[in-house]
Amino acid sequence: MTMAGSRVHRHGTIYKRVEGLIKSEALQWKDRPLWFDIWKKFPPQVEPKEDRPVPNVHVRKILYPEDMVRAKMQEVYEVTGTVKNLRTKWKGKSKNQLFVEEYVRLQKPGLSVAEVFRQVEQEFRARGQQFIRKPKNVLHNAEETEPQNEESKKS
Amino acid sequence: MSGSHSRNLPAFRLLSTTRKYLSNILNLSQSNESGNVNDRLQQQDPLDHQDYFQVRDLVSLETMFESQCHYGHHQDCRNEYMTPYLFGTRCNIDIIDLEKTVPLFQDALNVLAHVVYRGGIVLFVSRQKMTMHRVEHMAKHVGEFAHCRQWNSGVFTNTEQIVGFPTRLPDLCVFLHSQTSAVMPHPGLVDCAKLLIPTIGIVDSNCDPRLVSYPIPANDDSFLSIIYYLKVFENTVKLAKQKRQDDLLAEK
Repeated sequence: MTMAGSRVHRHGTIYKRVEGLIKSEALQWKDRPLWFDIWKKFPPQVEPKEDRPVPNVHVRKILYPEDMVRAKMQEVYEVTGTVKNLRTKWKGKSKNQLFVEEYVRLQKPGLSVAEVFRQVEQEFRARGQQFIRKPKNVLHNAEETEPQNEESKKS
Repeated sequence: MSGSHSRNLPAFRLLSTTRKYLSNILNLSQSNESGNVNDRLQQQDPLDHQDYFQVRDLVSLETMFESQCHYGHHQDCRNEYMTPYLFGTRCNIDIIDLEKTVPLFQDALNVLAHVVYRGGIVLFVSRQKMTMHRVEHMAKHVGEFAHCRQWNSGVFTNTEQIVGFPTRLPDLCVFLHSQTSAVMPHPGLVDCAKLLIPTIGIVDSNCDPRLVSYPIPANDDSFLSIIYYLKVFENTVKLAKQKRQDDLLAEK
């Protein structure tokens, strides 16, 4: 069988090549390979041939609404604790994930990001956990500037 | 030759066990006249079943997820033929869509079981140092073969010269890692395609799935996932061999 078969692997599939051999009677039906009937009954979902067009599929980016909170946390807080450990079978939530969930629960249309952050921080402090702020704190500066603007508008 | 060809075409089956089956079923139908012969034939021929060996239950999406099978490579390493199997990219890392993987995995297992059931030889191939000994151990345990060392270019194409005597080639190759240790496509895939051997292969997001007959898009670099695939393949081969033995005994 292997002697009769073409060794050009770029054209067609192995099934088609064996089928061609059987049709042209170069290979007898009783000498067909063992997998031939199985392939005929359960063919692959995609024909495994090398000359095929490149699939035109757009691979999307996986993004969630709460990713904004995660990005902001990176700016404001020092990285503490384990982010993710692949080797353990621990299925609990990380400290950062708990923060994000608390943020989603507390956020309201009227509140600014800085206020929600402060509320979440207070919640965690009540439980005995704390997040360490970075020295140059983006949120802190924003808070200071906000009241000044309001005063200037009033005057 | 043409006469024998046409005569053999409609009903003759290559496999002796299947032929024994038919006689066995016919005997059964004579003793029990209530059932229709055609129905029984349809029930009993392994290829007419969608899942004769019940291997589709071996794969579960949750276990695959826990075994880290959904992690791909960096998006810059992506093979463009793998895009239909991807779920998306998260932080520039490709994530494989396991909902597409599971049916492909089940089909591949079904084919593997059928080949083993018919007495075919299965060769497990891997070039990953981390899991090499595991693959060899598993293949030995289930009574099949493994090739986890450097692939000489003539292993399949020039067997008689290399081995020294006529050798039977495998009927199916299972690639647990479809790349060499130098992150190039495994030359065994091309050799299998040349010599008309079907292949089952685990293809990561940086592998070329074109020449793999039954590709399984999943992570092939994580230790946990490789262990999971090995367990599933082992169970499949065992189930098929058990079934073969049972059916042979039933005929006697």
